Amino acid sequence: MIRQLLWKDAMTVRVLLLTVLVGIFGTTACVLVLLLMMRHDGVLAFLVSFWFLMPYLFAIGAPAILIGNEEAQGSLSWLKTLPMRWQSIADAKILVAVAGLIICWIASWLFMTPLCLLFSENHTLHVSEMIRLGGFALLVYPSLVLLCLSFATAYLFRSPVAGLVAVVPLIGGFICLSALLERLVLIGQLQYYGDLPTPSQRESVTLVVALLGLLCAWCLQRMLAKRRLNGVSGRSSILPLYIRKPDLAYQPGVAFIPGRPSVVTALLWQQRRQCLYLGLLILGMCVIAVLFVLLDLSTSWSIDFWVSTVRLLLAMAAIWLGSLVFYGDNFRNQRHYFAERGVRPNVIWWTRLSVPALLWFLLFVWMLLVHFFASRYSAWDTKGPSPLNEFAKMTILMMLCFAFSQLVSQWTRRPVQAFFAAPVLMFFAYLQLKSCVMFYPGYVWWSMSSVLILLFATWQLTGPWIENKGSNGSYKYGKPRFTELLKKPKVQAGGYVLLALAVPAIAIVSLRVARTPALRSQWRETLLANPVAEPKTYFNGRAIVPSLHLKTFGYSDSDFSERFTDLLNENEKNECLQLLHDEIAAAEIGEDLSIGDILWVLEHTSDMDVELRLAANEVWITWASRIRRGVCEGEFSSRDLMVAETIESRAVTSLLGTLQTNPVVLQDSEEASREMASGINKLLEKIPSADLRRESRRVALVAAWQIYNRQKWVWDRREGQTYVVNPGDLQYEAKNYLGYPIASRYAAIPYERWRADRIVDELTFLLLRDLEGQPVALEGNSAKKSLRLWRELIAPVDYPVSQLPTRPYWTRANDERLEQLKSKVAKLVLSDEDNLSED
Amino acid sequence: MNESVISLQNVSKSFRQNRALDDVSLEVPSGTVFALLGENGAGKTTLIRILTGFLKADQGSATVLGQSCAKSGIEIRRRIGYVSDNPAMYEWMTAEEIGWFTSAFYDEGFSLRYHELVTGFDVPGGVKLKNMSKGQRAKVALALATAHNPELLILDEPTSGLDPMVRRQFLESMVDLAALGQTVLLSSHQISEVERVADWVAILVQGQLKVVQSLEDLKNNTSIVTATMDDSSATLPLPPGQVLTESQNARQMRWVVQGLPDEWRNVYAGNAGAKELKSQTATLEEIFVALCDPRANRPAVDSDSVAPIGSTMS
Repeated sequence: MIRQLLWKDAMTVRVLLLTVLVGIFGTTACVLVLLLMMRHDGVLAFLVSFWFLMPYLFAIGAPAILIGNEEAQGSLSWLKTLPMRWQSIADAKILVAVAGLIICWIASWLFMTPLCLLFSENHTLHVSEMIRLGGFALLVYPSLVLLCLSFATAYLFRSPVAGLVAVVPLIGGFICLSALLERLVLIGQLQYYGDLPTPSQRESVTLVVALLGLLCAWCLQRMLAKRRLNGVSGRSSILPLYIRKPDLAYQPGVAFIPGRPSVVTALLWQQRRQCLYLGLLILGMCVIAVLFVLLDLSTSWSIDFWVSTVRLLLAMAAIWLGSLVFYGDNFRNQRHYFAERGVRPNVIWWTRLSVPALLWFLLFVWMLLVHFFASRYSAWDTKGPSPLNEFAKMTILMMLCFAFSQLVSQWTRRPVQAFFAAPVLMFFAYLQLKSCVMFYPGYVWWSMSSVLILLFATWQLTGPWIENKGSNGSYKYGKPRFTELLKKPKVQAGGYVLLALAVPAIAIVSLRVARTPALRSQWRETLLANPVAEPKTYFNGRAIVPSLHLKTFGYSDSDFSERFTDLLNENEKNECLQLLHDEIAAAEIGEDLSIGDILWVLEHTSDMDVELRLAANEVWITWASRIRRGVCEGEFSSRDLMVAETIESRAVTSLLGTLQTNPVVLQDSEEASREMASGINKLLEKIPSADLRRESRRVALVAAWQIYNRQKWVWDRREGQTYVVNPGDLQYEAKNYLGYPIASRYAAIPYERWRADRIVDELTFLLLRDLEGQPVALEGNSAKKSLRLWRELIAPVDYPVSQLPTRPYWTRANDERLEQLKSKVAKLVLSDEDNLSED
Repeated sequence: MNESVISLQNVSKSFRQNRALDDVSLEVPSGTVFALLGENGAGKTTLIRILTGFLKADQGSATVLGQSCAKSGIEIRRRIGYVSDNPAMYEWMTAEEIGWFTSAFYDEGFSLRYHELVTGFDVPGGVKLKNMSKGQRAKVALALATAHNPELLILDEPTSGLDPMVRRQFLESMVDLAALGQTVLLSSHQISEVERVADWVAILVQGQLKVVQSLEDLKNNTSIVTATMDDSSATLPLPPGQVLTESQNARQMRWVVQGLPDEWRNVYAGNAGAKELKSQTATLEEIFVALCDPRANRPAVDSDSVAPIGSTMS
């Protein structure tokens, strides 16, 4: 007899087991594909969690199907009429569930362990723990407890969904209770203070508590199984008699309800009755779970873990709300009621969606509140360029979860299976979107198309769904033809899923291809025929380059703060001046001083300290001039030129500031006035001429273009980026333009590499054209176009959008500031000369 | 001549190798109780599903109330009352709630008529459908299907689970409906009860229509002929007319015959083996068994080559 029961339960739960195994296998396939492209611990870390989640999904789902589904089909009542002990029924169910769970864990472990061992160094230690029996038991134990608790709620509640949702608080309570019990046993009280027990003591107590916990969970489900499977039906009320409604000896007849509702009112009422309370339960569980996480934030979890957990909880709630859309009507195929009365599918569709969609909106409001709190703790800021991006990403994710799961809920064979099949489907959909779409700008809006497609799918398939077309056993005799297969609604539903996944990717790729600049073959030939000297080293070849290199604009490497305390002190001032003059006269750039040192001087002097400020600015101008000449001679690269542009521009700004302040002083001191005018005039002569500036820019640009075209696209799986070996130098350098690496996320895709080539050509062409003509306005069309191309080339979607490095400098405004400085100095010199001549 | 409410012309339907309906043609006149009989798997439910637009015929055409079943399934179901063999209802609703809910899809008078019907059926109030007995659920399903006064009522095993009194009451109400001009298509195994109310009968055997005739004509035309022999080894000729089945029980021969002429005894006049000859009108059940029983002895005549008995309209 037990054998038959085992067989029956195994048949019942096989679809769920298959779904989970497909999920495990699918995860493995995705991991393998991604690891072949890039060997990155981040990929494994992200996906290991899904390997673990799949068996837990089985642990939650198996009891719901074994008990809830049987209750729905009526076979549980039939079992109770057979001559068998209730223990046999309960034993068979839990044995099948445990066996299935072990199978899931073995599959997970077998797939995960080799991949972790082969591909990750960081995970090796953890995997070696899992190879041992103790480690494996550590994985399985929590899921066993979850399984027992899921059985308990499944026996307690008649509704399978209510049983499902009730597991969440039960698990939370169980964890808290276990932790309290552990503390009580360990130290005799509930709070930790004083000396902690030794690790071996702690292990023993933890083991005992764990076994006790598992025993309690098993006993609980056993007790509830007896209550459910044994005894007379209808005796299930656990409320005391004085609370229950009194039983009536005489059943009254059917009451007459006057009034006739409209079709919409009736359908909305029906859907509300079917799923509102379940939906509120799901929503409530999500709110409680997120609050629990929020309140526990201060203890041991990192921000990353907190954010991921909250996202997962919100996504699961959205999935389960979507699973409610068609759940009530699928229960015992009640939807045929509409088919038998010729009710229009359209009105059925949107009334099914209404209540769960409203609940989804409440979930969205809750997400807004959580986002608000998270922003206050700066949690979202750490994850991306702006909170708004994270908010948009989360919103679209929740919409996708809802949309996918509402389609699944329409077509799963057993209604409660939707609550498990939908998360698995959503996982794969998310993986696909993340790997193909989510790194493109604007993907959020294109992902909306997936939502619309999925909603359209259920709208279009509602007619066959209510008529149960394709599920009437028509094809039980022999295999259906392929064309007949295509007409089956379930096959069409699968097609819509594929379409929903494909459309955003196709749309984004098509748009990007359409916006790719055209090939300028003649221009390329001309440029190739007239090469310029490339810099001898173009990244970190010379020792001075790090001090000039624009890693950050902070220039923190200065020891002047230790050397000088008060530049108003004459001795310190003279010492500083000497250093500056020595640097000006030095043969090499940055021989004694760095950009940080000059910045320090300028920050710690006022515009009144004319001499120091003039000297500091002269250092910058001297460097800028030498760099520009070096670029033209092939000594320095485009990145070095950007340094020159920056310090030259800052020198001009500083000198303008000095000029604006000092006329007050000049009125009192003619000598000072003469000195300053003479000093600035001298500096102006050192500022590189317009021709030198133009030529250095042109050479740097062409050299950068040549370097880009010479570098190869080589995919390095260790870092997931493109690298090319620098000949004669063992260091690696990413394929770059103007010293900035091309967006690595794009570089793995062939058509993106082709796009990058075209964009580099177009950008170089535009910048060269602007150089040959008049300087461009910062907000002019040409500048805007260049900036757009630059952002497409360099910036992946998750990082702050970068500025074109030439942008503030190769512009009309920059030149005008220089002219403004020259004219002010000229006026000053003229007025001084007039004063002198009068004298 | 009554108009046809249902018309099938050469309808065939197969499910892979299984021929569920084979070249079926029939007309159901309006204002009649039309009984569709057949053994399990004969094709009755398939035929009903084609009429209600749930299935499309592979060949032929079917119309209900002048509308094509293949194209206008939803409109047909809106106009008719249909109770399937396993009616789908929302089990969490009470009888009041489902009546109120269903009234949204029909006219104003639905609620009152529904209430009258369920009261007449003694359906308990305030009880969810899932907590009702099978018979009570069947009553609710019937009430829902008939409360909107449809022109055509299609019932697939409607009285299954009902007690005999309610069954009789229900079937007699079908007669009242027919008298008011409504048409009832009834598929049932309760042949003895159908016999009391049906005007027309169609019998399906393995997807083929064997009989389409008014019940009165069918019964008048079908006789049970019994002959008692002197000796069980004696052979007797077949009676005149269309012999459907022949059986022997010791010294008694029994034939089910259609079209038995008045002077049938003349065949046995010179036959000393026949001691006693009797004929009586066959009941519908006897006719049904004679046509459907695969173990029956059918003398000589190839039943497949015989056209369906009767005509579709008198």
